[in-house]
Amino acid sequence: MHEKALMNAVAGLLLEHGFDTAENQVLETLTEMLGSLLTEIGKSSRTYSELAGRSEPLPADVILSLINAGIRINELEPYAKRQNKTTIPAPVPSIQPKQLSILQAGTKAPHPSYIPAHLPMFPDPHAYIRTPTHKQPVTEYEAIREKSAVQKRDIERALNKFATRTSETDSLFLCQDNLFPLIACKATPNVPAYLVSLLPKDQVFEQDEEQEYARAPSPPRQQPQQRQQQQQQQQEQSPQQQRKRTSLAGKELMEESQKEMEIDSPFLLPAKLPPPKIKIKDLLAPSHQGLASSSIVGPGLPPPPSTSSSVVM
Amino acid sequence: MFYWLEIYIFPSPDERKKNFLLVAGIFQIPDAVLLNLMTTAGIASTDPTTTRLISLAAQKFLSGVAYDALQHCKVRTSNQSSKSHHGQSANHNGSNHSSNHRQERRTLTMDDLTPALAERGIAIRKPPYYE
Repeated sequence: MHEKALMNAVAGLLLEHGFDTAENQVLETLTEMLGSLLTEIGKSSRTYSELAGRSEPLPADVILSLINAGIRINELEPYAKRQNKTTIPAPVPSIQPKQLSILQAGTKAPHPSYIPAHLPMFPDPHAYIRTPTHKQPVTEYEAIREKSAVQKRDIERALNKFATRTSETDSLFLCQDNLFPLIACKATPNVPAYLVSLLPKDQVFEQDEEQEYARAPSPPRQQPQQRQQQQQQQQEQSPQQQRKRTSLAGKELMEESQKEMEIDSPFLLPAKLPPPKIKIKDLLAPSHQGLASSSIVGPGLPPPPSTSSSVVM
Repeated sequence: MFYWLEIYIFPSPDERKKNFLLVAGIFQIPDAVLLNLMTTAGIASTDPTTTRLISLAAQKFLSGVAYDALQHCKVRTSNQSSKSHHGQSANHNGSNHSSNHRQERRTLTMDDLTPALAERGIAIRKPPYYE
């Protein structure tokens, strides 16, 4: 690039001396000579400046190097002040093509101090600036609670569906029903299906359980109304009669009543065998205890003894 | 020489005003090109006075070469024109010929440049392959 400017300078010099044209070979030779001479003088003057302990050459260093090269410096000033001079305009810096404003987004960042100004501009900010985006986690109690509830319900539904497809199903209706299948109840004979889940396993001895199941002929149902009536009757009974009753009753009765006394809070209730077994006992021995088993009374239980009822009435 | 040293080593304000190197527009080589060449030479940053002095010396040298080449060219063309003038004089008048000689275009060729450089101890020839 600078060779073109040097060639212009050489051509200007030749024009100044009265030449109209010149061969290409001559122009190139002179251009090479000019560039080489400039560089050599620069190197020589730099060497002189370094010899003097400076980092940048002064005009005195240049003068020394010129003298060393055999150029008479006395003739320089008259030469500079000559009349017929031709000057060459400085090369115009190339103009950067301007980007279309349509495609521009944001404002371009200016150059930092360590980047020369003639280097191209930064691209649009969106091309190299990264803005991290975080989704804020949901910390509200309501949302979390609702989410967990939905999740739980979904799990239960999925389990139900899986069970209906993999195992036998019952139907609410008499005909074959594919719309509303129910999971078939595979209960052990004479034991309700929900019994296993109701039993606190850690405090129940398996032997007793098995024995009770073996004894139980049918799952009993307890009517709350009857139970209330029995409790009322029991409260109305006099302590003497209760004593009589306890004496009459066996050891099992004593234990039963003690258990009854302890049921103040359902959480303090010790491990208790399910109602069906107790009632079964009563059924098995209805004659000697009668109403004494305060807790449970089966549907087919005989009426309370006349003695207690008459006293109350 | 002492005059130069006085100017550049101990410059006084009056001498600075007289310093022709600080006058812009008298140099053929642009400053940007000069700075580039000085960077090649190992000079990182210089004041314009230094680079312009170097540029002026180089131009002076080339100017001398061009002047010598011009003299060679004049001698050669005058020889040729004198020969041709002798040949043409049979047909034309002398007045017409002198006006033609003034308007003749001068072309710098290697035949003129080579002796001009040889006077300064610079031998120019083509590379061996092109000879």
